[in-house]
Amino acid sequence: MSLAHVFREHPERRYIMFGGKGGLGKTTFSAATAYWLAKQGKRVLVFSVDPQASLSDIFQRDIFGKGAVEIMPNLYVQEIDADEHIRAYQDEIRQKIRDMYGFDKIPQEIEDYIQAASAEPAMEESAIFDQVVDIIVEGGYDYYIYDLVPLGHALYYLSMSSVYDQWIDKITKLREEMREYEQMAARIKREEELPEDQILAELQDIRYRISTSSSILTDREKTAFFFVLVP
Amino acid sequence: MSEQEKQSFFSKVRHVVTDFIYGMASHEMARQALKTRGSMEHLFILITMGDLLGVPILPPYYSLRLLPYVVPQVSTWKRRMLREKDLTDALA
Repeated sequence: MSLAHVFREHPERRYIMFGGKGGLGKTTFSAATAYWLAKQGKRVLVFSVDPQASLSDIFQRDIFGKGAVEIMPNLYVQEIDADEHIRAYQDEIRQKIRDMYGFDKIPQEIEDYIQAASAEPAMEESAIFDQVVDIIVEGGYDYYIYDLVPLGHALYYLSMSSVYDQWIDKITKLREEMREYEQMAARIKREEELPEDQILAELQDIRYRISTSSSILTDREKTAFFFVLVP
Repeated sequence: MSEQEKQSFFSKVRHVVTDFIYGMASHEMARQALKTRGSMEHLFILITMGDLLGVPILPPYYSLRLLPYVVPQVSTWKRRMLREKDLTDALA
């Protein structure tokens, strides 16, 4: 049975992952599948989160951290640069703080926290996870081919979404409870308008993104996981 | 007294009466609700920004997204969390 057979039989499987040990051909399979699908006229994105990704090698183009690059019609390739993403993200947070409060400079204490948080061991993984969420939630392609990092790591990424889901769920609930108290006080004081709780809005957005992406990645109909093995 | 003056007088009286009743009946309730809300705000910052005090929290990536909104509260929050507690707190 050829790989092409799987895609012909199950056109609804649009999220394709290749996993397995290092050096067995995950990237080769990802690239070949992407090439074949693109030739069939499907819009395909093949992406990798591995800092030592070899998509650059296989397509002979320097694409690391450059977003989705079009290699040939319908075939897009993306290699995620986690460090670069974290830097951009930090700057975005700083800019937001400056804009919101009209600061020229970020207060030392806050700056220290931004620095420290980025040095946490989980930061890189979270940043990668978030980029994958971005790619999936954004849409725009017929097929997504996820060239995973060697196995242990990959499972870790996949389980991360359920851990995040729970954490976000809990704090969103706390935030909603806080909102109730606020509304109660406003009602008693007969205040007409209560400003929107922006933290709650952010949390709901984060929750939406995580649950959307994890529901796609664990969907039996839409997602295929291929283990690459040595026979 | 003209019609207009009469109206403004009555509206003033109505205000005073509603304020008085509010003060007697529900001000305490509103205060209590806001106080609870305030404590929860600090609890919330603790579980999202705990790293600021050295309490490790789960995903720093998403806390950073919330950071801009709590910037004004950080110093009062730190003061409250790190304050030594004694018996007089219970009376407050």
